[in-house]
Amino acid sequence: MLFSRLIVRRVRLASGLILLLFVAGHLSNLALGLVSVDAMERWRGVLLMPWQTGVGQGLLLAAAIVHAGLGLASLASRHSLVMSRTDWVQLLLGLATPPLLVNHVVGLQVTSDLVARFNADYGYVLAVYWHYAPLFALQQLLVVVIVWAHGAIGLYSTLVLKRAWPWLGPIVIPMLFAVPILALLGFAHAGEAVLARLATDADWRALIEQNLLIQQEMGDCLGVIEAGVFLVYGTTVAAAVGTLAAKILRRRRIRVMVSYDGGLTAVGRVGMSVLEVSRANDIPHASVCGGRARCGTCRIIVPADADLGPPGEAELATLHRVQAPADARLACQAHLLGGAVSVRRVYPAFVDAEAAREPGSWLEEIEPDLETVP
Amino acid sequence: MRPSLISLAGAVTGTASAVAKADEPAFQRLAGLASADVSANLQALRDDFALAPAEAERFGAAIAAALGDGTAVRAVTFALILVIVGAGLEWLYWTFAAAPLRAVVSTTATTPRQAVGLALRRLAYVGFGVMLFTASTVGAALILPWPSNVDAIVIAATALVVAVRSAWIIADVVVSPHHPSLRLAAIQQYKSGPVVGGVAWLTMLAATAVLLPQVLTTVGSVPHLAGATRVGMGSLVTVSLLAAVLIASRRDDGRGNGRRKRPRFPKALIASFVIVATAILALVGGGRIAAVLVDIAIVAALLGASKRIVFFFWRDAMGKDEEPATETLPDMLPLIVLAVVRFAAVLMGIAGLILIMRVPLAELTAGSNPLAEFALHVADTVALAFVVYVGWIAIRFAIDRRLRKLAPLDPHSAPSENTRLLTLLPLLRTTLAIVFVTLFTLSALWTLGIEIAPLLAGAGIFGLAIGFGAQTLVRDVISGVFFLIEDVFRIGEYIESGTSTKGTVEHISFRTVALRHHNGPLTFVPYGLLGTVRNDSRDWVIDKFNIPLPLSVDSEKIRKMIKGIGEDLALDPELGPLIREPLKGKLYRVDPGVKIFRCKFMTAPGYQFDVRTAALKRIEAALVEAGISFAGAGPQTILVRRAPDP
Repeated sequence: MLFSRLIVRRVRLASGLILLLFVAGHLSNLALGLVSVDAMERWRGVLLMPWQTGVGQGLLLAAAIVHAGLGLASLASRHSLVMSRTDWVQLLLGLATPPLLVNHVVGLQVTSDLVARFNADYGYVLAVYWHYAPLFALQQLLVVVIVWAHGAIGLYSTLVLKRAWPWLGPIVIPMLFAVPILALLGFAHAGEAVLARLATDADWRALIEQNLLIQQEMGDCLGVIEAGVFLVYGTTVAAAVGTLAAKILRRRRIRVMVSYDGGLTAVGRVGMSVLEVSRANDIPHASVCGGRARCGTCRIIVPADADLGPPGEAELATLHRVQAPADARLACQAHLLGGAVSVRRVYPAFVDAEAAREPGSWLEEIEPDLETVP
Repeated sequence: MRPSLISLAGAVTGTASAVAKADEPAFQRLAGLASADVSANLQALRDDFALAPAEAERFGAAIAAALGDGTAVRAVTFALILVIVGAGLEWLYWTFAAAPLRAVVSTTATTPRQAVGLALRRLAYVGFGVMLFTASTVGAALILPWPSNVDAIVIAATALVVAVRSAWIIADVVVSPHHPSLRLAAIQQYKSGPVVGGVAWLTMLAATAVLLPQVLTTVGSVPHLAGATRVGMGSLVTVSLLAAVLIASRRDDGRGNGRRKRPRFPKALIASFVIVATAILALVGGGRIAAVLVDIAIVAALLGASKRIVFFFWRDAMGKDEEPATETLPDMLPLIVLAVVRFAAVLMGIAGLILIMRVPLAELTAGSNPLAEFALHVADTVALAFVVYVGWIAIRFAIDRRLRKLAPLDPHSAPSENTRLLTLLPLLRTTLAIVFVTLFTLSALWTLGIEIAPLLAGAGIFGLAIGFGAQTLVRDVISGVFFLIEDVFRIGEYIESGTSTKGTVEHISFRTVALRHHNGPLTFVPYGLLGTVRNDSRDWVIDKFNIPLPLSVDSEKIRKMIKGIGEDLALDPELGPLIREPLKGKLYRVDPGVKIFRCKFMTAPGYQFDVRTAALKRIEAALVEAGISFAGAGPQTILVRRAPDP
């Protein structure tokens, strides 16, 4: 790997945060529709203008490409499709975002970059979405929810592992709900206003239709750009999925036995991590972060000569942070090399994020649950 | 008593003409109704399919218009808000509840009943999530200002999602594909995943088949399109059900190596037949008849599977075999639960029928609807049967368990305090069985509206006739009852009757007691002939015997000797505990040439012979030691030794 995984992880997180910040600003701007279309327009200068400068656009584009690229790279570097439910949701939402979003970005931002007299203000955009092209509106509404859900889940999964979460949570969680709901309500409210104005204000309507004409003239050009984006994106996704599929198919017959504490055994493929084997075989295994070497709850005690891939930098950092003993490994990073492995899980399967925030807190004796004692 | 069912009572007593009169018009009416229904339904079907395309076009135009004027955009915006609120709050709930749920599902259940407890907790966690989702979605939907007509769609969509999710979580908790130890049904692992998926899929189809036509009718006012959709979705449901039956009835284990099973009742065939029949009935005969068929089929399936379902939870009690072992007596609880399950199934079936028939509650209580009334009577009878059955099982198991706990009955061993129970319990069991059956039969007849008074009166007259012939029988039974109540004898006791029959009581029946004479013969004595009973086995016995000794013996010395022997005997490890009052002897009579000493002791009943033998043995030994011989009965030869002359 070109860069260390720790750096890659930080870059991915940073690019995601940049995108989330932009989306939050954009949606807040939309929420102002609850006040009036004018207010949206006025605050656009504050909330969105920084992103519309050359630097801003460059940063956003870079963040989007990096985030999507790293996401696909991590998909390609997987060894199986055994993922937690959250990871599946994140993967599908992430994959769906670029194709749904591309005509919004290209149609408005690229057009106003290319054509100076094109005026993509809120009045125009809302009029197009509410009256002239309602199907695009449905698409963009969907993408609001998809992008926000993807961002919110990602943000939550990162923050919940931090020690600050107990006081940070009550601030962040309401925002995660408020922003998209207010944005949608603002969109609906402003839409009503725009529809009313379209019906009464003929001059304005003419202005809008003139603007629309510019966009239609640009149609072919925009179509080429969109097609290009689709082509590149589609090829990249196909390559990532193809890599993963080839890996799974090639190794599908090479079975490896993993035995656990409590007499459980499971069978996995070469290359899968121990955590993936546990998940694939319904063996209870704690993993708060979902297998990203961040939380340390999936860790296992293995014999010194266990046939596992060597620990990477990220794993060592996490093991050091949680002050794990020398024979501990992270199950999500310990990949099977081909020999049978015997492991002992450290945490019970039902630990929550607190075990990641306070590594010592869950290791004391857990009182037996009276109702589950046979 | 109940006028509607007098015809039924008449049938029993033999007036068959009343039945014919009552039933003929009903059949005719029913047939007429059915044929009219069928032709009307077929016509409606033809209309639906003829007019649906035009209506679909109209509906499409309406949707296009809604897109242009902002209605659709607004509706979708609000719908997405519902998604954010509902799904978001549930997600938030799961960030807290996921860990406790994992704690539940990572527990390995050791008994099926523990699995039930865990499944209930699991259902509570997941169910609360769905409830939260539903409540928040509905709450948010109530606040939002929906465009007109959209609310029906929102309600239908929410109902669809909630129905599918509920069916899914219930199937998932019961079948538990990922945690085999928590499974609540006897389903193989390879079938578990498809079962859950199938249930969710079928629920989705069925809910759509119900909700979509409703939405089309109310929102789009396109009734014929709705009718066509209903038929289309209904066919899809039928096909899916048939496919499910077909797949479920495969015999192999999914890997091609099927275990050979005994040929069984062709359930899959019957189920397919019922499904197809229901579909055809629903198509041509209206929904109600189809619903009746479904109701009956479900109750029948439940009754058929109830034993397997109930005993699944008592696997450990039933041993490892899937088939319940017949030799060992099963526990009482599963049998009672089984009765409850069957009763509940039948009752729900009847309730379903009443619901399907849409009998107004007023008619139900006033009793003006004969069919509903009959259903109620049947329900009454079933309830009665249930109560009687549960009562009978409870009593039988109590008696059997008690009997098993007491030692098995050996008539020749020493009588203990349990003998009275051993005597009475089997008799009580038989008596109760007869009483229960009689009471149930009479009550059931009465509940069904059949006059039992004439039956009883008839039995009375008949009984009088028999009674004269069966006087002795009655006397025997009645005196038997009193002998037992007064505890005159128990099994294992030695009695002598007034007719001087004697022996150990071996068997007690309704009419006779069997006495085993000590020489072997078994005498069956009717209670009526027992007369005065002398019970030799109660509390204690006193035994007396005489010892003749020569006149020359010292009476006081002999008395002390016998007393000493008695004290010795009382200390004997074997006989000592049986002796109530030790052996004593005293000079009783002086006859010419003989002194008679009478000895006396008291023992537990039945042991006097042993004690007497031992006492005589020791007395004889003591006399020999003292140089005393027993006195003879005849003239004594007295040897006089003359002293030699000095």
